[in-house]
Amino acid sequence: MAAKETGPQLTQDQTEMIVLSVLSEGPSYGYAISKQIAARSEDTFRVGASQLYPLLTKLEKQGLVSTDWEEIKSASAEPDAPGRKRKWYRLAPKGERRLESRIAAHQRFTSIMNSFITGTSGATS
Amino acid sequence: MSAAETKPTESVSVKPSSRDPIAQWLDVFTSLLSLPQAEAERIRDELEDHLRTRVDDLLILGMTEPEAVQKAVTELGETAQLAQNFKSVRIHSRRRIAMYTALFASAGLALTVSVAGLLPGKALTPLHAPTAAVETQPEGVTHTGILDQDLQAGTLGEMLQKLADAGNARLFVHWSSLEPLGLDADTEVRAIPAKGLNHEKVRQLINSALGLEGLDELAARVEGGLVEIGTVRYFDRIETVLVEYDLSSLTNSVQIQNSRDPRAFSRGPNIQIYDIVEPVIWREQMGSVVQDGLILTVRAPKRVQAEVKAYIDRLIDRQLHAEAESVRLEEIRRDQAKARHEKQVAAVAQSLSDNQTEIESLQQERDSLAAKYWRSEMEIKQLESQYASTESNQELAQIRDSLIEQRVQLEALVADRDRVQQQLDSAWVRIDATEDYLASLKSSEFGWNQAQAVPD
Repeated sequence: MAAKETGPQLTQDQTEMIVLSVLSEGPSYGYAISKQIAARSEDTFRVGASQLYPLLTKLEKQGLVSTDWEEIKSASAEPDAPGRKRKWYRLAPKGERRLESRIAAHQRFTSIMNSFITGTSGATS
Repeated sequence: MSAAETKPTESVSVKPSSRDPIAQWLDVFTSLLSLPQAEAERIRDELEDHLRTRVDDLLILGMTEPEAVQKAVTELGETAQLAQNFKSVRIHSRRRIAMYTALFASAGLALTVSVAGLLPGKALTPLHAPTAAVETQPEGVTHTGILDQDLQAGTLGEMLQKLADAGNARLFVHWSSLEPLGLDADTEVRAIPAKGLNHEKVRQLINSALGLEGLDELAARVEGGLVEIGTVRYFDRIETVLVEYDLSSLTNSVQIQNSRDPRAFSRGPNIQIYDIVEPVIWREQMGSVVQDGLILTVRAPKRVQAEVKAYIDRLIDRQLHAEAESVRLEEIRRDQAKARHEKQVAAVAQSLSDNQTEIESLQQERDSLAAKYWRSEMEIKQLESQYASTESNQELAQIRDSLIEQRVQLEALVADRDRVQQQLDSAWVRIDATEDYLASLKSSEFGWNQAQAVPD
């Protein structure tokens, strides 16, 4: 059996950028965010709960996201029984600015890396 | 699929029960959080939603409920680590608040001093009951640490509260420390042009408005969103600690002055803690300095300890700088010595070469004299032979004159030969000495410690 391939390790800044980027498309909650990251990266990036939720908490404390709660009721639950709570995250204006700066920094980094790669391929061609 | 589209209003969830393993795991997890109950509950609710949603997904994929629950919990990772991750976020957040409101604190001090821990049994006098300042934003102030409007004339209590509010902090004022100065919460303070200034600057202006100086100035300590206000004297008293400084980095050339006896200062001290670092502290008997060998023990407030440390660090830096300078000068001396040595070797080598040239010249002169001597001897022998065979008196007289002339010439040649031989002998002595000297110069590292004079 082939060894399970592990995806690339995201830095904290990269993870933050991805989460903010997901939230820039609309409000979401933890589990949905993690699934969306996995789906959009074709399972290349997996942000586990142990990383995602503390990060979301940090983003909330920094005022980058705003939150609200929704009560989720099970279809099989009694009508009067309390449902479980779901925490929704929405990108705050401060978060939008943070996302823009993260994207700009990432693009600068990518541009610099590309200049090396282009130089290398040019030299070998 | 956008996140908004995924927002459900209903979910097929695993029904919690008293034996619900998810609830049991959440109980354990929550107990590990060590966070305020409300915050822990919010985290628990969020993780419960995560787990149950995940279990729902896994059930749809065909897993049994126990398998699904186990997998969902396993995916969360190690429980204690997960709890630690949440606690880390809170600690970092508290540090940010402390940094944010630390503009109250004096420059150069540790910003988050656990003052409450230093005051067992001492009652803190709240100006107002602690409020959830984080959730409210007072009118007229921003959360940037910069006041966005001037402070109107009012009471000292109101003014300090506004400053605390501007930093999203709760406020405690040690009024007992202000009483000896005739200050209380109702003391009137004139308007402060605080707009655009940070808390530290505003506090300085309040001190100025109240005429407070030195140990009587208002100081602040910040921890966990709580700002304490008291006089510098008050905080100095409760923050006095004993610290030992290792002086082994200092050489013997620098000694610590640890005596208060002014006469002792004349014995050549290099460090005068009492005179240089916060003299007023020692005068008011709020600290002491004792040296035992290379250990300097200082009892003083923390802020003074910081200055003592900085002072000793500066001395060490100065010494390191002096040592580096000494090394640099030594290198210059060595470079100069090396250059002198090379020049000297070249001079001696040139002298040796000159000696060799002189010897060659003398040898040629000697050979030339030897040839002349030989010719002169042959000439004399020939004249003597002619003299023996000649009978004519006139010829005999001529030969005799020639013989006398030749013998005089021969004697002159002998004298020249002896002179040249002496010069040659002397030149050989010199060249031997020069060769020895050159060898000794080359065998020394640079030769700069050798005798500087080239032998004659």
